[in-house]
Amino acid sequence: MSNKAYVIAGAGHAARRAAETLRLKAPASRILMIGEEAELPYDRPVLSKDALLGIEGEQRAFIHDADWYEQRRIEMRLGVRVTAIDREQRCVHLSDATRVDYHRLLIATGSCVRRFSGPVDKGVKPHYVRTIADARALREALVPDARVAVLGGGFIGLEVAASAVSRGCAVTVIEPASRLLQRSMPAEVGAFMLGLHRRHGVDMQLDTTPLAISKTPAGAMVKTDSGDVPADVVVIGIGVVPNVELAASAGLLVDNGIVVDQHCRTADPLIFAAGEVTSHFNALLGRHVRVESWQVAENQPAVAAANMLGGEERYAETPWLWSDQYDCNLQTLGVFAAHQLVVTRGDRQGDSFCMLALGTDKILEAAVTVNCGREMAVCRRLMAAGKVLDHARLADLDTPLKALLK
Amino acid sequence: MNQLVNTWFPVGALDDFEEGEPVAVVAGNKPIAVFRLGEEIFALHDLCTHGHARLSEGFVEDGCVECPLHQGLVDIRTGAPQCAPIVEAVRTYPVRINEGNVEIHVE
Repeated sequence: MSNKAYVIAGAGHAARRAAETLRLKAPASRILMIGEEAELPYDRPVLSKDALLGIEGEQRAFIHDADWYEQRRIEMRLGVRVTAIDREQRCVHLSDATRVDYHRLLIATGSCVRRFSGPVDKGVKPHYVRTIADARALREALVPDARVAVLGGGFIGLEVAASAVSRGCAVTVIEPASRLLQRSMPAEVGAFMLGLHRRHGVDMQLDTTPLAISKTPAGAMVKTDSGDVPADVVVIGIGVVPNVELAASAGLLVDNGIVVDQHCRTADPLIFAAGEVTSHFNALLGRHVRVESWQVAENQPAVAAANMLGGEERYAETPWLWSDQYDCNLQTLGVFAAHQLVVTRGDRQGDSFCMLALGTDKILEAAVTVNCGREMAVCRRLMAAGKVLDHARLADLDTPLKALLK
Repeated sequence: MNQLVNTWFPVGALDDFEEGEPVAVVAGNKPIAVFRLGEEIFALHDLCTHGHARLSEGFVEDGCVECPLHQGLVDIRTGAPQCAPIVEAVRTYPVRINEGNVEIHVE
């Protein structure tokens, strides 16, 4: 067997997509994936949703089974971590004291959860939602009538809250900001989601900062700056941080992620990085971005793989993500910013609406849809085509959004 | 035997269906998304195999329907997945046009 291995550090969604592309484009190559978890690669979106509801939902996270990888001669080293990259020797050292030579190396180490920084009493084990093991443990804990305290009113926290409600739990969400989804969404969307959760019986505590998690005879107590929240289950969803240590210790540039160009290249011509661990140059936005989403894990590694094989492909997509909570589907495209003119279509009090943000040149720069995904398909095309849009027509509900594509 | 013969369900006139405007119908108790491509009609099970989405609410382009929730693509003619996150084929139903009326075969 050739030693010219394409080695992938990581065995998550991004690693799978890179391996798929490498195999497709280089049928004879040796491909080796090294992952710290004992699990086959899986996609994460279901972990905060269907995987919390049942085993069937969990199984949907796995796109391929072990046979699939075996048939395609994608070698898997699972339960083993890459501990160091030796760029001079062109090899990686693993936690089982072995080493693997690489012809090209892809770093696809993803992110890990941001830990709660306050004191946590011994005997209380807060849940996080990042791995399939996390989802299994949380699913076991979400029994009917359990009191669940969710720290964080971002997408993960809200999805966990919705899942816990459908399991029959009594849910409290604790969020330091004065509104939900403050970082990424117009205020109206945060307000809509707040109403949605309150209608489902969630106790939404905004402007509330959790300070400590203590043990009580009955369970746990989340101490906040505006009172105590008793809970049987504490879930923390306060964001993720990129796993950059491996790259940093190899002397590769790290700045809010592993810094790569639009071809997924690091400064070392043999080493690439892909997925949400990267701070990659996005030509559409004109700057480096680190994007935490399914989209970047799905599409960026295919570009990296092509370029590991000598290609010149570029990765540039308008950031897009979705969130499913109860029967509500929310999608957002692009980046909302202060200079934009925002047009709302549909009734904010009703079941569905979308908000479109025009730049100074009247071109669509960002959009969010709430329960109207069909409009998101149109928004993507309006944006890609760079259509100059008329504010009045956009606001006129008698003009279907689709008509503006013509 | 009669039951077998009667499994073609009328869902409307050919002219009721417009290109690019899928329609949700129910035939034989099944939710079905009906698509017009040129002079032909195609019928898919009206649930995405990935999310809990109605394909009849999807965007139609180049013979594919885009799932409204997560942007997966399905070939309208075959039900085959064309783009992630959809990985499983969507069920198709046979369609015939009988004197200008669209009929869908459901077992």
